Amino acid sequence: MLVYAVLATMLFVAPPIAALAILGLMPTFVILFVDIAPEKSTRLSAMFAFNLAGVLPYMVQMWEQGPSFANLMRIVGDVMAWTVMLGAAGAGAAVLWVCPVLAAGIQQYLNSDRAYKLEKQREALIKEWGEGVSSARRAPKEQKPAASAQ
Amino acid sequence: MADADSPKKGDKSPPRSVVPGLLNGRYRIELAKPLVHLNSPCADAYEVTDLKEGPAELYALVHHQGSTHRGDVLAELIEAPIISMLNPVRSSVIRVKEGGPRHLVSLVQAPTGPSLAEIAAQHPISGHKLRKLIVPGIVQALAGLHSRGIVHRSIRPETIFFKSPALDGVVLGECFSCPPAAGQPAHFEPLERALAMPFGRGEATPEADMFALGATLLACHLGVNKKPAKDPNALHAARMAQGSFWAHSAGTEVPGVTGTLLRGLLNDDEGERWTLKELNLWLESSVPNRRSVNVLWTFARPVIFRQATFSDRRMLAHEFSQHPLDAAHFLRQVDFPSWVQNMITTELFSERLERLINVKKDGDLSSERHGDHALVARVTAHLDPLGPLRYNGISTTIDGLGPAMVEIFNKDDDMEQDILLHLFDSNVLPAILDIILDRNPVVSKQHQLHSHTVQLMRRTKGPMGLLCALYDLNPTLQCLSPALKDLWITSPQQLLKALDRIVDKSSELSPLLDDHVLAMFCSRVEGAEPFVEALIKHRKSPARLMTAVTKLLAFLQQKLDLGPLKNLSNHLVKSLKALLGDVKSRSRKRTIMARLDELGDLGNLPDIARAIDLEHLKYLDHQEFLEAQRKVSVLEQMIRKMRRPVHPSEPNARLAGFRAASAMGWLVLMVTMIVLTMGAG
Repeated sequence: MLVYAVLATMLFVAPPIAALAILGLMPTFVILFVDIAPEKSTRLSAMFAFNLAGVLPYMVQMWEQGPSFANLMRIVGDVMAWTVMLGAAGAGAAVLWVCPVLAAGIQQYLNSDRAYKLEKQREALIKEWGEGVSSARRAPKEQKPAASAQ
Repeated sequence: MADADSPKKGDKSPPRSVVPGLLNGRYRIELAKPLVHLNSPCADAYEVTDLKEGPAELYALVHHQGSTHRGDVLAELIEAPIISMLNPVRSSVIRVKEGGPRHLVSLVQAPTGPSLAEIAAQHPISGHKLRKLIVPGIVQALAGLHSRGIVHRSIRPETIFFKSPALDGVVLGECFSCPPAAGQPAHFEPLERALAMPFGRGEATPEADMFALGATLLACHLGVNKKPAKDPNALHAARMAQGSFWAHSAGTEVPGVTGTLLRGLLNDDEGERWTLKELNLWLESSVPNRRSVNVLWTFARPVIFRQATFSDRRMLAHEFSQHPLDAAHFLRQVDFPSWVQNMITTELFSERLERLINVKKDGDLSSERHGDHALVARVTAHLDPLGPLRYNGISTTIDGLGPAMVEIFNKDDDMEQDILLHLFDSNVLPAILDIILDRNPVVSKQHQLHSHTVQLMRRTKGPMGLLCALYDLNPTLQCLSPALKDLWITSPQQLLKALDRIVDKSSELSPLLDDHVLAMFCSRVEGAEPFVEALIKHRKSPARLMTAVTKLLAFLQQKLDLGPLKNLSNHLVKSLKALLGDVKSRSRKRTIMARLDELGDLGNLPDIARAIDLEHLKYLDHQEFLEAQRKVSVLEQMIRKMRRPVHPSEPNARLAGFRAASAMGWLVLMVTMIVLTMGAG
C-alpha cells in the first residue's frame, strides 16, 4: 500500500520519475498480477526489493538532474540502465529459485540432529519397558492374522 | 519335619512326641494288646508299658482321625483330677506306628477291677450293695464333675468299674474321648435327647447324668445288662406313655428305698428329677419324695395322623419327623393356628409363633422338597421344644449340633451334607431356635453361638460356609484337609507351622490352602474372614490370588504371634518372583527382586506383604506401560518425520527459502540506498 501511495504521490509531484518507476518495476508488477502461489506476498516482497535496488539509482539520478521527460527518454533509451534494472530483477528471481533449495538442505540437516536425540529417548524407553512397548515391534504381530487370512 | 514343637502363647494343643508309639519318651503303647472293652466311639484303647517302672496302671486311648473329643474336659481333668474317677494323666500328638498318621493319644488311669456290667451280668446287684458300694463313689465323682460344670454324659454299667476284684467301691470311667453321650445306648439318655443321633446328643445338664445313673442302677438291680429287647421306637413310645421308669423296668415293681431312688432318678421331668442333693439325702437314709407329673405333653384331643392316634405331642413330633412329606401335607390341610391352639390348650399360640412357623397352604413344588422338610422341622420344634432338632433325616440336639456335623462329615455323604447346608443356609436353624428359645433352657445358652455360626456361614457361603460352621462348632476337631491327613492339627498356630513345614516339599502353595484349611483359619482366628473371602474370590487370577495368599499369611503370622516362618517366606518369595515375570518395567522388577531377596530368608511375612502388593504393582505397571507405549509411538512418528528427505518444493522449505530471499532483497536495497546516500553526500 505504501508503494502504491508513493507511486501515486509521485505521479502528481514528479510524473517522469513515476513513469520510470513503473517501467523499471515491470518484473515486480508481473509477479503482482500473475503469481497465484500461496507464498506470493513473500516472493513479491523479495522481487520488489531486488527490483527497486536496480531502479532506485536511476530514480535518484533523475531527481538530481530534474524530473523531466527528456531525462526519462534518455534513461529509457540507455541499454545499460535497462540492464541494471532488469538484471537486479533477474538476480532476485535467481535468489528466489536458489533459496528454497538451500532452505531444504539446512532443514534436513537440523532434522537429522533432532531425530538422533529422539531416537535416544526412544531407546531409553525400550530399554526400560522391553521391545513390546515399540509399535515397530508390535506391528508384525498385529499383521499376522491378516496374513494368515489371505 | 520338626516334630517337637514347643507350645506357644495361645496354643493349648497337646505336646508332640518324636518316637513312634512312645509317649513322653517313657510310655510305650502296646498296639498288640488292645483293650476293646475300654474303647470309645472315637478312640481305641491299648495297654501301656512304662519304660522306667514296668507295667503302668494306665491305658492309652488312641483317638481316631477325623473325630472330635471333649478337649476342655480333657485339659481340666489332667490339670485337676477328680476323686473316684479314671482321670486322664497326659495327652500328646504322636505317630502310633512308624510312618503312620499322627493321632492324639491320651493316657488314662486304668481300671483295677471289673466293670459293673460284668458283675451285674452274673447276678443282680441288691439295693443294699447299690447303697453301700456303688452310689457313694459315683456321687463323689459326679459332685466333683458337676461342681466344675462338667457333665459326664457317659454313665452306664460298662463305664463304672470296681476299685478292686474284691468289689470295694467304684470309680467312673473317662468321659472326654468322644462327644457327649456318643457311646450311650438311647435308653440311658433322657427322653428329650434319646432320639437324637448318637453324636448329636449334646452336653446337656447335670440332670442328664442323674438319668443315666438311674438307668444304670436299674439295669444292674434288675440284672438286665443287655440292650432292651424292644425295638428303640417301641421303647421310646413306652417311655413317653408310661414314663421311663416303668418302660425300663418293663413293669417290674422295685419296692422300698431302692424303688424310690430309681423313680426319682428316672423321672422324665427334668425339674422333678433327683439331683445330687436328693441322692445324698437318700444315702443318709432320709427319703426325699418328688412328685412325678407328666401332663404337659398331652393333646387336648387325640390327633389322627397316618391312621394312628396320638395323644402325646412328642410322639406326634417324632412321627412327623419319620414321615415329613405326609406331615407337610397334613399340616397344609388343617387351619394350623386354630388346630394347634385347639389341640394344645396349655400354651398360647402367639402371633409371633404363627409367623415363625409360617404354615402356607401352597405346596412346595421344588424337587428336593426342602420347604416341606423345613415346615415339618418348625412344627416338630413347636410340638416338642425340648426334643432334638429334626430336619430331613437329621436329628440332633441344639447343643450337639457340632459333633453331629462331624458324624455326618465322617460318613462323607453328599446328600446329608447338602441337608446340613440347607439347615444353616435356608433360615431353618434360626427359625427353629426362635421357636423354642423361650421353652428350651439349652437354647438360650446356645443361641448366640449358633447365631454367630449362621452369620459366619451366610457370609462365607456354600460348602465353604458349611466347613466354617463345622470348625466353629467343634473347637477340638482337627483340620480335615486331605493335604494334612497325616497330621493332627487342632489350632491355627499348629496349622500355620504345619504349612511352613509342608510347603518346603510342595511345588505350589495355593493347593495347600484348600477349603478345610481356609475354613479353620476363618472360624478360629478372629479377623481372618475378609482375607479368606478375598482369597476365595481371586482363585482364578494368579496375581490377585498370590496377593491374597500373602496378605492372609501375613495377617495370621502377626495375629497368632508366631516367630519366623522361613519356608513359607521363601516359598512366597519364589512364587512372587515367578509372577513378577509379568511386570514390564525392568527397573521396578530389579528393585522388587532385590527387596524380595532381602526378605526371603527373614521369615517375616508381614514385611513381604507390606513390601509387595502384587495386585497394585501390576495395575501400576500396566498403566505406566500404556503411557510408555503412547510416548514411544509419538517418538517414532516424530523420528520418521525427521528422517524423511526435505524437498525444496515442500511448502515449508519454499516459504523459508522465499523469506530468506526477501530478507536478502531488502538487505541489497538498504545497501543500495546507503551507497546512493553516501554518493549524494
